[in-house]
Amino acid sequence: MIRGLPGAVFLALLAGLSLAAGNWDNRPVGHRTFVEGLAVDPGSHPGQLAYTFDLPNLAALGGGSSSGGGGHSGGGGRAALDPVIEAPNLVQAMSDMQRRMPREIYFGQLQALILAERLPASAVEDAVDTLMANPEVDGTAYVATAKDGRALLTAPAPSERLPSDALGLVLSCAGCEPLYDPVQLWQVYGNLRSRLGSLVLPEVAPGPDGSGLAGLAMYRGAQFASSLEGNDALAYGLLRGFTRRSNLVVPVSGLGVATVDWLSGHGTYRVRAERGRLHVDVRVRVKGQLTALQAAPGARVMALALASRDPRLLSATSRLVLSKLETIVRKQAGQGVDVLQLGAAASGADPTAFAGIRSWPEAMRTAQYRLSVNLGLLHATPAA
Amino acid sequence: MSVRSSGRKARPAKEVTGGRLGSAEMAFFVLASYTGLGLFAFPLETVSHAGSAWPLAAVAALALTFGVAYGVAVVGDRHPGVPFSDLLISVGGPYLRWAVAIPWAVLDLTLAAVATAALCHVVVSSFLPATPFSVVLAAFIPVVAYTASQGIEGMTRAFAVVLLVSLGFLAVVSAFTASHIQYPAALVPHLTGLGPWLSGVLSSLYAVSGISAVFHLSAHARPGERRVTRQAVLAGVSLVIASRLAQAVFTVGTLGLTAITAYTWPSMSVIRLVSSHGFFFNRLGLLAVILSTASVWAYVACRIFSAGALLVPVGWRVKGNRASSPGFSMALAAAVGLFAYALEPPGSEPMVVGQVVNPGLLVLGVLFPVVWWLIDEVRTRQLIRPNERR
Repeated sequence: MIRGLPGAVFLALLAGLSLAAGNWDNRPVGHRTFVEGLAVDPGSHPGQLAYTFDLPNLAALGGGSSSGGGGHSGGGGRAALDPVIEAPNLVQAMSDMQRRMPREIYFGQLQALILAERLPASAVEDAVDTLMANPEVDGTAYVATAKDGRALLTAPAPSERLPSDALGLVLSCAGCEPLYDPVQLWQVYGNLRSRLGSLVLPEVAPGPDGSGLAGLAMYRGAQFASSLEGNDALAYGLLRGFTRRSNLVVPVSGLGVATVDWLSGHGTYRVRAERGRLHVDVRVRVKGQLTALQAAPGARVMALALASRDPRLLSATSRLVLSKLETIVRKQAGQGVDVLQLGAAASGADPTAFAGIRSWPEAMRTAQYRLSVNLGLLHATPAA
Repeated sequence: MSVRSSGRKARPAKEVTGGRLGSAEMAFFVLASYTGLGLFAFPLETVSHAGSAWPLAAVAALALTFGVAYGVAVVGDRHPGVPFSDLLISVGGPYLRWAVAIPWAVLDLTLAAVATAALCHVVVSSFLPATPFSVVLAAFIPVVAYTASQGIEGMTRAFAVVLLVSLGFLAVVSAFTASHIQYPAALVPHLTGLGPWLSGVLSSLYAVSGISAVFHLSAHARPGERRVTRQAVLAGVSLVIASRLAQAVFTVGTLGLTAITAYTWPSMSVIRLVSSHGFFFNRLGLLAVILSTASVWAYVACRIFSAGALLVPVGWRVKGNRASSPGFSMALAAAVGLFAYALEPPGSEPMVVGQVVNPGLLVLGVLFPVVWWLIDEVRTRQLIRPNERR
């Protein structure tokens, strides 16, 4: 198709230009430092924030020194470097950090963003917006809350070489944690963008065997409000449909103490607005498996198959779940927290339906809730 | 009036009817011609104009596109082997031909420039932040110039191979984004008024802008095959419409109506979220986005081909079946490159889409084809043209 000198010049130009493009950015991996985790804590002065960057120490990792002490062993130095930068916002912290490091700081491998409980809403929004605006970050990092972000990020993880590797494992394992709804950066960003948003983040705490999930952090907008733990968190998980394998111990009068395992649930809501006030109808379907029944002294020993259909046991279990749910909903709604994430559901719903509602937190406070629980129990059978 | 007696020197009959494309090849050309523009951003503009009526606006725009393309294909099937510019001359003489060809060629080059600028912006802002815009552009333009100079048959062969791989992979990866849908309420249409809906329809037109390729298809149809353009449009445009719908549903369902407006290229951002463990590398979405740039290459080459076929002087179409000479394609590609370079300032490319591309497509891509089809219907019923009815 293309002949002669013009064709040759054209092809040479084509080849030259194709080779020239694309080599302006790529740096050898050894010239980069990968930020694996980032924690945001309140700073030592008002208006300052403390940013902890979790960086693998390439010198220590490359030497192959096995880090028995979990990230802080001797030999080739510590496996992780955790510099803390105090700055008013993340952009400044990033450039201060870059000034201190010999290598280019690269955020494309970010696994976890940890937000401290005591952060102001503006700091949460700043961290999320700044990260999302960074072209290296694709929004798939996990976001979690901790009482002390720096302590969590630097806590030793005996099973992994890097603490943030362990953290990444915990936060990405949606199927293996009994009560966990993974939240990624892009979801937080979208939630904060939508006028009606309110965050619910997993709360992570350091433990002797590595970090683990402690509960759920409830936010009013981007402001931390309170945390849910234990059975409160379980009931909330049933409502929102993210419990996978949780259990409840239910005392049943006249029967004994029942253990219900494999709890899962799903809540459906009907919301209508009348004269600026929300009426919320919540039905939660709960499924579980009766695995044990310890008969009360003097009570008749009952087969599990029979007990799983016993009205006393069913009503005691659903009353327990319901009472937890009512406490959570009333307490959270009283703080103006969008506990059912109604704002997210309403964003995009019929725009005329919620036109009368001026302030969403205020609507949360004044809303009328009606809750009901529908429980179905299976009973344990031997697997083999 | 007969096509052959249009005041030019007579050519052997073989050249006029000598195409080599069947419906399957044509369908690939149609797919290439429609996919490239709107791949990164649609349905951002639709949502920001129509609000929660966006599904109705998107469906209306897609249905309109299909109807128009089918009408043009019906006309084309009535005149197989006849180039579009000859058909224009046979209907209204050389004046009509230039009155249609020049605006359409300008629109084609504008569409090509907008798609090129969008691609370069995506590459620079998401993948190669340190590389200058002009370098990415300068690497892209010779490639499309070379492709467009291959003529429709060479292009179709290349598209069949490359698009099957890249768009197929993109489709598989996009299916994974279904698990990210968290705002199902945003997918339910609520018609709040006719004004937002209409402006939503208008602002969606750019995402299905490949009609100009359909004009030229029947000139290259394999002799003796009937309804071949219609079959190609049925297959190609249906595929495009289905994929645009899926793209819109996944994007809005994932980001919601409010947050979507914070993104510049929402559908690309959504696909980039896909990652998978167990595949040999886990950033599947990133690979899909990189591969999908091939569809911009195909799209721009189609636009240059179409503009060339419209603008080519009457006596030029002599060797083989190429609509234009390689030199002509390269000149047009250079024009596209300069235009795209002018679109470097961020925000200028959506502005051109809103103020030039969408109104232009409404007039030249919707109204003109409807009139074109009507004229041909009337002429077919009035005239007996035994040498054209096949």
